[in-house]
Amino acid sequence: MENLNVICVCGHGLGSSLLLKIALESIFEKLGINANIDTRNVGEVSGYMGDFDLLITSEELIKIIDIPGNIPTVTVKNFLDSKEVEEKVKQALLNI
Amino acid sequence: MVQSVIEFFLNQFFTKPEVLLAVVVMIGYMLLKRPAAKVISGAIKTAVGIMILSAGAAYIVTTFRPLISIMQDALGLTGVIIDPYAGMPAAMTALGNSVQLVGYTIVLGFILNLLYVKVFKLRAVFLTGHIMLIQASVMSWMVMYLLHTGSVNTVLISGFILSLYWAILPHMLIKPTAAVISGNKNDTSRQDFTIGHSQMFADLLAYKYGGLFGKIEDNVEKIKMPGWLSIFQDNVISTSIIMMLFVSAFLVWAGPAAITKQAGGQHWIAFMLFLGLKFAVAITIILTGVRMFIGELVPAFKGISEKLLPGSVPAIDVPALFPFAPKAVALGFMFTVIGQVLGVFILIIAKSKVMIIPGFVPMFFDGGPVGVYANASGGWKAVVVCCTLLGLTHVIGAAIIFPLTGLSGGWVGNWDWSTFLGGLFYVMKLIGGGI
Repeated sequence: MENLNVICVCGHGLGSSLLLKIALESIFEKLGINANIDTRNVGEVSGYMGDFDLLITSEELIKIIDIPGNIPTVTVKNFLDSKEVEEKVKQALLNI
Repeated sequence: MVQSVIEFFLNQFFTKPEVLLAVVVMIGYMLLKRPAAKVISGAIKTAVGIMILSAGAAYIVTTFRPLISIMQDALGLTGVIIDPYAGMPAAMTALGNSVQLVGYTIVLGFILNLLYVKVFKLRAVFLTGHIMLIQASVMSWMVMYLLHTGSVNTVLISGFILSLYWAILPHMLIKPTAAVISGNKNDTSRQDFTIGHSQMFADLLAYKYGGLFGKIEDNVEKIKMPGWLSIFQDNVISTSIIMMLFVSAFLVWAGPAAITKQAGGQHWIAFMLFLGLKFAVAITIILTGVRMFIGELVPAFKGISEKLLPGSVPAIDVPALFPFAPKAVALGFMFTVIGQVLGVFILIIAKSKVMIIPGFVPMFFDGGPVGVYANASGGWKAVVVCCTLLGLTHVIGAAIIFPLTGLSGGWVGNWDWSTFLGGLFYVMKLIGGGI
């Protein structure tokens, strides 16, 4: 099973994205997917554009990140609502 | 022989916060039955993260030294940058070798927090790792400095005070936060999380009294906001802009001659602008280290609290609130900046010896949530009033408290720490015997 590279983006890179990462670890474990999850802040994420398969961030921040067209993204409203996160991730995975 | 081996371990390793916290993370992951690879990588990333953070902290202290000297020599003012990433390094530097106590303070505070939830039916567990580190550094220094305590008592007293702050304030914010999540003050069922940060008293006041200044129906989210404000979400940009602006303003006031003396051959304008940018460099380094170590500490702590106390409410970082009222955050930020600038003018007119240099973090990370809670009670007018008052008191409060702190160059700056906790420090000073 290949590794899925996931990146969580928040403003600082250490508050909300970390909680998202924790939630994602259990979601991917449940789905049986080997995922490598990194947290980054808005400012530095453009330096990592080639390195991941899926990007997850908030509805506000997606507006200021420059993403090359074909990378699947998931935008979340409530970082701690594991149901919302799980639903949206499952949907995005269908397209990878 | 055995004794010298033990001494070797104690003196060479266990006096370092990076070792203590790495061991805490290892124990946490082992309790959670994580695989061995995770236990070891967690320990290494914790230690390396803290060492990166220390490198950044040393760099920021050397960066702000010339600024503070210029303000002292040319203007006779004691300059203080109000930003936790200036205040924490200042406190860590003042602690010197005692900085090792900070790790113990965090652990004690966390364990007591869990205990209060279990025994006293409080419901929130403070999990905002980087904030725990900042507060533990400042509180450990203040206790040691004002009460003249030795190592053990410093940890016991700081850990105890922080545990109360970490357990009680976020507990009180559970319902206000739920109201923000649901968008309706009458619906407080969404208790997925609460806030654990450094302006919780301000949040409570804004939520309680926001209604005095405006009507809930005049919700900020209905107003159009300028698009360029979104660049402030990126903290490298925001810190660069804010620091270049305010540092230059004070240095220009001090005069080109004073700057040139410190500039070591560089032209004063270049020196001034690059100094502002150096703050952004230092803060980015600090945040890289912080991010790495709390990337291990927070999952370990969260795992433990979920195992021992299922149903507890995590107290987390303020950006979790922002998606629910993004315009309130932007408006709150703007008026906190205005309030802080007004505060600086007041200090100048009052000929204060202490001069506050505004920092980005209190503007955005206090102004944002206070704006959100104010809006939830009184719409945009509440945001305008509460955040202007917030900024004003950020500056004036810090100027009043700073002489008590025994620090140089920076103060944590977040609201509670320049107001309510300032009152606590004053009491501690009286107890410790010295006014």
